[in-house]
Amino acid sequence: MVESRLQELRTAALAAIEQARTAEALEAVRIRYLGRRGLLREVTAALGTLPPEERRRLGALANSLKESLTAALEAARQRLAVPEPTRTETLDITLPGHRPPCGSIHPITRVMMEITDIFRRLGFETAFGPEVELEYYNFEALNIPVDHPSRDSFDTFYVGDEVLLRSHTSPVQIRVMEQRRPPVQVIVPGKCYRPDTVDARHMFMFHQVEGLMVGEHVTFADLKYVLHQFARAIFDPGVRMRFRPSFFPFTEPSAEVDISCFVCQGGGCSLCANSGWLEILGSGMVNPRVFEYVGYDPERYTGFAFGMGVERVAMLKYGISDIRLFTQNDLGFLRQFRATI
Amino acid sequence: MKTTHHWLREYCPHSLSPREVAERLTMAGLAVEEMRPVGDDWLFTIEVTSNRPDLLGTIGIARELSALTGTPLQLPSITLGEGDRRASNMVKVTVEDTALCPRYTARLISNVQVTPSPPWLAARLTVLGFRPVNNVVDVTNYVLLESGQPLHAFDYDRLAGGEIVVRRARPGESITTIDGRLRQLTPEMLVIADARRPVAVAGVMGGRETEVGAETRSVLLESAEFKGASVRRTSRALGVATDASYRFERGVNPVGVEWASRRAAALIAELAGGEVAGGLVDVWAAPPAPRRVRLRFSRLQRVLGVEIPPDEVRRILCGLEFAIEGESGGELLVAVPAFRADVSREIDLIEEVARIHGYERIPETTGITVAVGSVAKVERVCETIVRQMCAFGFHETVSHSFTTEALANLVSPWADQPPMRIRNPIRQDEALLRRSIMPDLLAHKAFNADRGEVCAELFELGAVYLPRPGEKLPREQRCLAILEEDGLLNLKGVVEALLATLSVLSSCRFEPLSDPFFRAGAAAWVNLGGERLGVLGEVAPAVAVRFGFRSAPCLAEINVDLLVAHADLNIRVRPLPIFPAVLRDLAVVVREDTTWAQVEECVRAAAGEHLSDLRFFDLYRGPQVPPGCKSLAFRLSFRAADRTLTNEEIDRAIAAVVAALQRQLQASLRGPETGVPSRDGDKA
Repeated sequence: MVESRLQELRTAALAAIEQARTAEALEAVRIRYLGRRGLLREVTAALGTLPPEERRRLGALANSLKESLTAALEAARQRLAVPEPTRTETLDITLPGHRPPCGSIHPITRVMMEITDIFRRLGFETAFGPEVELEYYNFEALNIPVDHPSRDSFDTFYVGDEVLLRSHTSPVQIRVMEQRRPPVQVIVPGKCYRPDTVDARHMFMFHQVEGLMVGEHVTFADLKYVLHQFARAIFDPGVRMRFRPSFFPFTEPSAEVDISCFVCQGGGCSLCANSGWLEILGSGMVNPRVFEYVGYDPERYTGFAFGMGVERVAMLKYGISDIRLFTQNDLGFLRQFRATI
Repeated sequence: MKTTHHWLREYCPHSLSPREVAERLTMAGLAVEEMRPVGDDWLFTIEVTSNRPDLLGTIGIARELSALTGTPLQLPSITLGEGDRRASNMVKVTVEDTALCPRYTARLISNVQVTPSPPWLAARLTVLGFRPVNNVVDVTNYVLLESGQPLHAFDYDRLAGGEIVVRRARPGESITTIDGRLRQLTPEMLVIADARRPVAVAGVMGGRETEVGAETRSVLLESAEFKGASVRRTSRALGVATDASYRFERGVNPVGVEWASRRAAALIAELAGGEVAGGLVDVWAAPPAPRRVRLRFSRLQRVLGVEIPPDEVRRILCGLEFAIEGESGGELLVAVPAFRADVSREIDLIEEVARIHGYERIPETTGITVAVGSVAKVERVCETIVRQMCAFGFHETVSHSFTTEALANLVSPWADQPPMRIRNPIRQDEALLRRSIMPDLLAHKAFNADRGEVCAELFELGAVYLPRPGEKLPREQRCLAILEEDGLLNLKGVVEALLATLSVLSSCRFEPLSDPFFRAGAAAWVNLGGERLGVLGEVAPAVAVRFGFRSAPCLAEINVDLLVAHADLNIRVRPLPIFPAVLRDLAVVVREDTTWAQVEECVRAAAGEHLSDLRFFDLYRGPQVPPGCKSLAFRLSFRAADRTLTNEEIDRAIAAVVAALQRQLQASLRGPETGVPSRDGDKA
């Protein structure tokens, strides 16, 4: 009798708890079943009339029911818990935030990516070649004969007989032309080496980006167009450009290319040594002799080539005055090259 | 090359200001590096490219100004009063090696009075950086600066036998040059000798015993052409470069040899008195055949991309003293003057026209057709790596490719061949080409630690140089090296994240590695289909100590070329699941030597087809775990594509997993008997 009543209470109470949708409703359920005048109390009050053995057994059952319902109520209360009252303490917003670690991209890589990106937009693809190179590609095939003064500007590290560390990226021009037929439109970023005495402007390892375009109708006017597009994109849209005749064994006609000094706008300052101009690259029309070396018909094809020092561009862009900083890898220096595009 | 404004105007009486001269010359390819006032004159320092030896004399530069301005070039008139005695009767010249000395001329001037030069000459030489010596020597220098032709004056009376022999040096011969140094000669070197001994190193420097001094009465004036390559080798071998050798290396004009000799003889006679013997002793096989080059107007336009009027082309070429010998069918036949050895092809003439016409007058136009170039996979992978590593908080470094013996021998994950050696290094102790980037990163960390940077998380992407037996060139392998300060699992996490980004991780296995560079038991190699994709580990204590580190950093190096070959950069979207996943967490106690990989393999095999994810989240050793054992906790996700899985299905799968773990790895469950769906995130 009591037992079945307890069972009924359990079922009804659990159902009521389940159905309660607000804290108030839940409280009403608690009072109805577990309150001082609740239904459970009603049942246990009647236990006193029973024999002791029976009373103990049913008392334990009632206790267990009470515990179960209390637990169920607690669980339901958590389920229905309203959000905590709005926190009122003030956060000191001037405290530093917790930052994720921020890395950096080396200025040489940054500039090479930027240069590459500009030339990609002009339709150039990227090519690569070995840094340890055969003398033939570094010199002969570029029309730089042995025992000729034109080699003076290319002092070179040797690692073996006729094997050297390339002193410019131009050998890749030859390697590319040996492998492809025109039209060719590539740039070549990479490391180069020359045994220069190290100072603020010279380092025995440096980076170049070489460019080469060959086709049936490539002219000096195209060269001027492409390089001016490039200079505008990497330095300043208003930059002026100057092509000065020069000499490189592998181009003819050859030109040194200067840009107007962006510090003084041509007025003269210490950066441009009061000339108003900054030398940034060498260029020219591919020498027909180079075409002969790679088996291109120099009557049919013309082309231009150019090469620039990446350190030079980075020093101008970022205002770096000592080339040695690039390979010193001081974190104070590196951190300044944030990961912006 | 140095010259002055006034001096240039003696040959080309133009009306430009010094600043305009500098501007015009620079824009014609004669870069004026410096101009500064000297008294009432201006000194120009001009960079002359190695193909233009004709510009190594003031007349050559004046000729350019003449072509640029249209002002005719005026060469000095030479009045040479020759005596009755014939030079050829007084001196015998023998050229034994005509290949290295195509032309040798000698002139004799007797009864000279060697005195200091007159002020005008001494002053001009001083301005140009020459120390005045005496009237004879100064004239030879003056004519060199004027014409570009080096000259040498011998004291004729000191030449044994009154004889000149141009020959190779004999073994064991030596000479004391005018700078007072005794120089050993070798048979590769060309010398000027008298009947007994060398008296000059041909084209490089004269000998002290025969130099012209106050006692000199008769002068033998040498004007010759020595071949550039030979002079260059000799000059380098002796370690001496002179104004003469500089010009011979670049090539002198064989025709101009005679003019310079006549000019200098006349000046010597004028300034030092004396009598010039009749005739020139001239050993010369034959004048070179004049070169003729055709120039097509159409070709000019095709190279430059602009049409230059034929009249302008003719004017430019004639201004530079090219002779137009004929014109037909849109092309010119051009005779090249002897002083322009650099011009032998049509393109050379095109360059002449372009630079005098002015590069600035060539328009910036293009006929380039628009074409989208492709971006190679290697570029995409490398750029992804750099950007991702930066996003992970690492700083990119760039190291020298050269390394020291000590660093080179620390570790070589890719090759056993000894590193390549530079024959002519700048620093003797930095003569090897690196085979790994990892030692460089340790060096950078040490450098930064000295500057108070306790933590340096670094990476570098670059080549290592791996010698190949029997090959001239090494294999240049692109590598990515990473230095991480927060423990090996953090480094492994970085490597895994990077490999996952490139869709390579699932093909990789991390296997134990033994290498003395790494701490024993704390290193792995990455096995990608049997090939070594990379290595990683905690630096061995002994290595860390050498760099002065208090705690050992972790290093990894990845073969990026192999990574590129296997990387998949394409993204294909999988449809999102419709039915929810059921999550269960398990913790099992296993023996210490049981690896996670074993547990994972066992779970995956036993969990059935609906296991969609399996993640490790905790390793525990402690009071509740028996000694010699550890607890591994992980989360399983189950999902079916077509329905919601029932609890019974999940329970069966979990039971199968537990049974398999017990059977295969003697694992026992820890904690709640069956995993309760857990809502909190991964516990670290």
